[in-house]
Amino acid sequence: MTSPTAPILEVKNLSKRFGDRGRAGLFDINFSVAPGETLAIAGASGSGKTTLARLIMRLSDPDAGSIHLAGQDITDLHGERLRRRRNRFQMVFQNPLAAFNPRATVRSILEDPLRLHRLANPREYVGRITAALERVGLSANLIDRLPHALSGGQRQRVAIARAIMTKPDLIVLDEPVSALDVSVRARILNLLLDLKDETGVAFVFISHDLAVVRAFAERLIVLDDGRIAESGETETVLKAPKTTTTHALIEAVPRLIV
Amino acid sequence: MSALYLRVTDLGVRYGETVALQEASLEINQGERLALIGESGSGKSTMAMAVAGLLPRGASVIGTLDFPVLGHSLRLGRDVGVLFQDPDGSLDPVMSVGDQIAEVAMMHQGIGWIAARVHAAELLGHVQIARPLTRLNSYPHEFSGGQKQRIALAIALAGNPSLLIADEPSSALDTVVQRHVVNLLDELVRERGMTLMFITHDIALASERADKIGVLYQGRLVEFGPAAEVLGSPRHAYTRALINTHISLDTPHSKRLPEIDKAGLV
Repeated sequence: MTSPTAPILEVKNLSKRFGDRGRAGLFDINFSVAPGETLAIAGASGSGKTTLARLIMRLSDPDAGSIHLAGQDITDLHGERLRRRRNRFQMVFQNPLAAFNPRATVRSILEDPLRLHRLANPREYVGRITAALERVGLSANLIDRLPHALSGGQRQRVAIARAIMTKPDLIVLDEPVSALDVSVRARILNLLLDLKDETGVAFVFISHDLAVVRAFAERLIVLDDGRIAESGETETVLKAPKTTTTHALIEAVPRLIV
Repeated sequence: MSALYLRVTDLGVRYGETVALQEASLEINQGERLALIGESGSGKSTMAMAVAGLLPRGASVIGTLDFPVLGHSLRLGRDVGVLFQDPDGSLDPVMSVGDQIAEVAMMHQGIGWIAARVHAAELLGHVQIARPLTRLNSYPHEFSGGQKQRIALAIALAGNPSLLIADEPSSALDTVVQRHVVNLLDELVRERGMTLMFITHDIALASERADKIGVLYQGRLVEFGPAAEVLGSPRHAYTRALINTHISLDTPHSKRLPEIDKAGLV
């Protein structure tokens, strides 16, 4: 059993010698995420951010260490048992176009979690899908559209609607706004902040943009070459960065000179 | 003062019934850096591609483009190099990077194959690819995203153009690599005295790197002038909104981020 203060995600001594498909490895990663908290994971390309996201999501297997979700060890879950557990943790990708079946309509994309996790009976599908679309600020008229007929912002809203369909405890957000227009970016981040307020979902927010991280996440882990270079309250880390990695990430943010 | 390089007068572009750009006029001097800012569909890429002569077939164009310094119309590759957001779109996956750079140099500089290969190695060095001679025979997939963008830059520079057009050249890269590519672009443009037109949706990047800024909104150039003027006393509501909603390192953690209210803009 978990107490109310127990972490929703706990990662212990997690290592992966070589990442999948040439991605960076990870060495002895330790951290936890409290319910309703947003933890950012920042780092340059090749620092291991995506490898870590894939391990947390159980899309690949670690070489060592453990991952606990809501008190349950999910490190060795596979097949049907992993699939059944997936309703508790969801992911939103940088490029939803690559994450969606190009021939699946919005209806079918949002129906999948309902069917897979038996969350509703088929007669309720349309109502649940319409409600989810409305919740993420999309018109129900989009229900029969294909992904390529949506704008970048609309696609990301569909991805978020799919992620919240199962009322998860945790959503891993892998650069969810990097590919979007500036004006759309704030709207999507605000939608995520509202959802967190309403549902108490926790976020792991993968980003290379420390300005967005400061505005969005309470805590921050900086990865460098597969290791945690620095971690702590976002404000504290950004105010007094201790490593050259964090310095470089801060320096890289363009400054608006007015 | 440097000479006038480009004068755009009442430029308009339509794709069939869709008006992508209308009544856009601006001037850039030789060696100046112009940033075009706007969101998807604002017309910023259309404007840059119209200047480069790279609009798709079927686009109808009105207005005039003058290049007083050149004394003739712009020749793609020779007078203007173009760098796109996705380097994979400009690199041939089955041709070595050395050959790709050398081919452009031969075509536009009228030099022989051996001289072109030597030039290709020099250019790879200029865009800071380590051990350029040994990388001439490498293929695009052997490089990282940031390296591929720099190789695409070497190809764009191979014709020794006087104008470089860069369409969101760093948006797909992480901030550290983005910084590197933008610094390099800046350095090369200065060294070669090139004129630069770059497209971005990041007003902060424009504020750091541009001498002049043009802001596009719904197919119109709603603002154009020296960077300090546009940013210091913006005339259009969209420019003001962009400045006010910018997420910077000084934006504190909060319940909500400032959004651009489209309804309040005309």
